[in-house]
Amino acid sequence: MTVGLDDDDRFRVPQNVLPRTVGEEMVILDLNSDRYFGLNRSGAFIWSLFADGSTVGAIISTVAAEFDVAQADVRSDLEALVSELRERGLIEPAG
Amino acid sequence: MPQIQDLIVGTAPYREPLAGWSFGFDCDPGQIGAEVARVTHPATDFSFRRHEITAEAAHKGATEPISCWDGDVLRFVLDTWSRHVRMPDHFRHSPAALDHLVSDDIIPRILSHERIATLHMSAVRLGGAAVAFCGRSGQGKSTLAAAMMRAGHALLTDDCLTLTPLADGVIARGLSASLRVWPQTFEAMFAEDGIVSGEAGPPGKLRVDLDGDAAAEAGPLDAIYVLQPAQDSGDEIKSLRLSPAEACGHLVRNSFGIDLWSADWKAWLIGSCAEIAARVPVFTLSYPRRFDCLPKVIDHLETRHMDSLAGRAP
Repeated sequence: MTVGLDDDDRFRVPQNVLPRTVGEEMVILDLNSDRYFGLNRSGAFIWSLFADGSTVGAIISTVAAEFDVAQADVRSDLEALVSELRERGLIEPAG
Repeated sequence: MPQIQDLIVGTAPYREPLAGWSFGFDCDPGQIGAEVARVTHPATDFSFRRHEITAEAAHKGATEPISCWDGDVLRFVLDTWSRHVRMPDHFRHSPAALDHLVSDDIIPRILSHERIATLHMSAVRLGGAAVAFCGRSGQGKSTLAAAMMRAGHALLTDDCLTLTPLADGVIARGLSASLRVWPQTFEAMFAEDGIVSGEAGPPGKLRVDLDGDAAAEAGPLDAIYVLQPAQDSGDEIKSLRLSPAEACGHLVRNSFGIDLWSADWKAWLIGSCAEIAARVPVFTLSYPRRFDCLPKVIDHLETRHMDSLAGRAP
């Protein structure tokens, strides 16, 4: 289920999760489940912003500018992505 | 500023990572020194003799030896802590079976443990570069490599390939140049020409006598093909490029490994596969599994290779 995000929300990568960049994409290994996941270019871009500690508001602004997309669309996509990543235990709320 | 860059890995890359490893058979004290099998592996110069009684290693760390079973028969125990491979005496090895076991099961796992990317792939030389084939067991890696070899493309390996990422590509090296195929493949491709087959060890394949043909030397890798199940292809031959992340997943799946409990090793594996996937294109390959279609598959691969070269032309 997609959950709404506040602009001040931040997420971090748990210690059991190993991300590796592949070209402009990303492969993620969850050491707890031994499962591998792939992120496409835009997903990998957003992941790098999570890892930098960016807030949701900053991520939306940055992604909208990078991919020339309306901020409302970015927020919707980001909420869906965060839900999927959290369901899989690949990110967790920071702070 | 002039710069020098190593492009080819050394001529005996497997000696260094294998140094310090020992091998032994379980046996009775009275049989010590009685040679039951001796294989000198061309890539390693390793010799295997019944010359020692192996004591169980004292495990001070958290690691456990890897036991490899074939059905209910223990084939070998690979202990990464004491760097020792133990083979039970009840698994009677002919030289061919022992060579198969060493080449395709043991050394790949040791190389992987020593952080050399070692993948379950066949590979041939195509033009000036190599192409590799991977897929689930029984998908036709060896048959396709055999067909390519019969079409004039030198064989690197039918089962195990090491990959070394460099700044602008990947160097591929076959672990051994032997060719093992299913009996029906041998009948279709080799029997008429009077080529001899021999025992290849489990699981029922035949070793093709290559009559001293040297394996292709290590060289740059041009592409990797992931063989798709036959029912997906119909009569069409097609290859589709995978995204880098998908490609990385296939490389991880087709990697040899023994340190499956080690987070450090897993981190190395995913990093290594990511490096390779970023440097070499990986494609799916779908085609009918009929011997009469193999020339068309080869033509497809040759054409794609030429297109690739044309795409790189200035």
